[in-house]
Amino acid sequence: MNRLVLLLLFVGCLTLATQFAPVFESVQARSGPEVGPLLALVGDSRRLFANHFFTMADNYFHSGFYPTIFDARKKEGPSHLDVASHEEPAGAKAGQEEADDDDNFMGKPKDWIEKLGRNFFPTTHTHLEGTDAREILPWLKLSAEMDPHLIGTYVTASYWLRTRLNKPDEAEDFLRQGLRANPDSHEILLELGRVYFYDKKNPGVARNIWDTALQKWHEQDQAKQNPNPHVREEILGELVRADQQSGDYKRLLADLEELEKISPSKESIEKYIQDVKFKMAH
Amino acid sequence: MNNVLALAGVVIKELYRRKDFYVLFVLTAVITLMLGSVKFFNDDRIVRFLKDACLLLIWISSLVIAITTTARQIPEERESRTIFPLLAKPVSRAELIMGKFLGCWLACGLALIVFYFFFGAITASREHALPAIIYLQAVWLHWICLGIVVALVLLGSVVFTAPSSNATISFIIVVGIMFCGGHLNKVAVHMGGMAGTIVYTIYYSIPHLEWYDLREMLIHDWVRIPWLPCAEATFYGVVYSTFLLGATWLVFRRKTLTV
Amino acid sequence: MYAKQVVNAVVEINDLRVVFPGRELRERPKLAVDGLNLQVRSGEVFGFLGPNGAGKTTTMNVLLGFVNPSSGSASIFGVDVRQPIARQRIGYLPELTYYYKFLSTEELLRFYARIFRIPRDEREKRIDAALKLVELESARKRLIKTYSKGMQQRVGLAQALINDPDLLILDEPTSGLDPLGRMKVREIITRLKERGKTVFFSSHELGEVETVCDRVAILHEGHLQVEGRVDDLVQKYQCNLENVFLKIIGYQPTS
Repeated sequence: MNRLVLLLLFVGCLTLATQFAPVFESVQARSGPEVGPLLALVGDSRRLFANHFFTMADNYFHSGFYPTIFDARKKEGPSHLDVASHEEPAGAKAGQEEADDDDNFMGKPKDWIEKLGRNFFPTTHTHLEGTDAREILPWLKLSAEMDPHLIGTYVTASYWLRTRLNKPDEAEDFLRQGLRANPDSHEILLELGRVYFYDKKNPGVARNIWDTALQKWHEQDQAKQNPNPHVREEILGELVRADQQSGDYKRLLADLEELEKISPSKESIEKYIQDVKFKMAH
Repeated sequence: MNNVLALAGVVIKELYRRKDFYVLFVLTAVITLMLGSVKFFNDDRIVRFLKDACLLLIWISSLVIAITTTARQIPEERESRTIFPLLAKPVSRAELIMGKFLGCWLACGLALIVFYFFFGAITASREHALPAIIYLQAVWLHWICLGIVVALVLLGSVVFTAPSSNATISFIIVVGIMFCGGHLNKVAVHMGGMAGTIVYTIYYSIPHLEWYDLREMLIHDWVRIPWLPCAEATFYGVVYSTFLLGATWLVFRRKTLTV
Repeated sequence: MYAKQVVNAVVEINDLRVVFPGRELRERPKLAVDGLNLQVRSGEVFGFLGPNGAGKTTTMNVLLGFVNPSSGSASIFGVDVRQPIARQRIGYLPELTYYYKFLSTEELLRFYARIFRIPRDEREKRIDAALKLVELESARKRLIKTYSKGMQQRVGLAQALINDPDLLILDEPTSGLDPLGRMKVREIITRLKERGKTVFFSSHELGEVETVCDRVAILHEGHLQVEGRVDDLVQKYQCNLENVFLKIIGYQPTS
């Protein structure tokens, strides 16, 4: 008798499950893309976490020497982590100047307690050297998990992966992960192009990606989304390099003329345009 | 001293016969090992993140052990009435307080040795190096910090009746000091006026537990801290603990204990 | 160590007054003991009697240092009770026996023996003797939390006797015991008396008090009503000790 009851219960449960499964799936589809249990638990505050984790990456980049919310920043500006990831590639100015007084947020100690306390935490401004940059990666990964729409996370991580850690494949995978969440991101496309150009030595693919990036930038500009003009300048700069390497003067000229319109270094670009025109003529 | 050591021995026996310490240690170890098994961007040489997580867990566990162990000492003795046969012996209340303090503090020290040994093993396995001096300094200062915490909680245990309220309030105070204590002077300067003076008074009055947290130095492989500040912090910790224990004795000595 | 003083009065209470402040804001202070003068002589068994709330436990708490007197003084072997050394030569058995559950009896006795500064070589002998006396030898290594109530009470007796005290203070020693247990306690008290020890105990079992005690004191509403030898009181009031007690506290039967 008990076994019969159990069997009936089992059949009943299966029947209910098959009846309600399509209903549940349709509800799920309406509610948007599936999120993991951690993100579901955290909710919208995941954006706060994402920002915090990015800050932690910057903290790690500075080996713990980092202002707290109580320290008055003398100037607002991008973090050194961000700045470094927007550096010109190797060959350009090497080693950003560290001895900048404005970065010393600590100032003189106000009392003996603060003076003694400074012995117990980092008080020297340094950046991670060489492959030590790997230490920032977990925080960037976590930041991207928390908020897949934080573009800077992908770009920054990719920069360090390819320039310091010689991991272009990982950089590409991460950027493509970012592109899946942000298909219209010209910043990610710019960085992806760099992976192909500088690391995978594939200028053709790189150029196509940069063309797409520029196209995305223009689309956003026309849609009045106010894309960062500096990124457009960077894209054009990379296109110019690609054209230089391929020897395609016609495209080089077109790119230089577009770059001249927005670059602050108009004179040097104009001079270069004249050189190209001379080469084309001869 | 004989009575103090005898009482301390009983406290230590209680700690290793209860399950709290083992649960916390296993939790710390499991979480650390789980995090250690995660590979970020196919790089298995990332170590600072792991050190950060492990040290955070160690600090949380040590504070839980210190606060919960100490918070229940005297209230549980009173509630379970074991204090009566104890004080009916030639034991003064001052010796009882000192014995409880020493027992809790030594117990925390033993726990710290185990935790940091595990931390050292994890780090050495990744970095293939162990900067011994900064590690020893970190353990030593962490222990001194727990001495202040134990003394603070012991004072709370003779002021508050329920161990749970004492533990909760102590947690809030300790965590608050560790996060904000060192920055109250900046807040005071911003506030100015009477409010600023009050905040500055609080700043000078509270024990500066943030000095004893060398996690940033350990995580980011900084060199050892100079010995003089280490000694000064130790002295400060000893003086503050003594002050808190004295206050505990002043409150407890006049307390009526009724059978 | 301590100086053994040859005194006749082992316990001396002079004009003791204990007032407990009210717990609530408007609650009046409670007078627990008022003007108590008492002496317990060396080698006697002294019964401390009184109805509930008479002040017996408060007086004992003062002697043991749990409560500070509001005025007056109390001393044990000539030493003020507020000094911990006053308790060097006493053993105390509380009414409700609770001991560290995470220790075994052996560990508990070793701990208390260390507090009494019993030398290491003597310690183990004393522990063995105490365990034998209370018949807990087979359970010495077991944690106290595994003990039955009766066994825990025997632990209490063992710890009270570990230092071979000259004065034993017992608070309701036969409370909750079966007739066999009560008989064993009486035997222990008698044996201690034969060895010249002093026993000071409170009890509601007046039949037993009449049997074992040399002198008694009856307390009522914080005041000492009567003090003297059991025989003298029985003769004076021409009734047994129970009726003496009832007459002293002014009990009037309703029927």
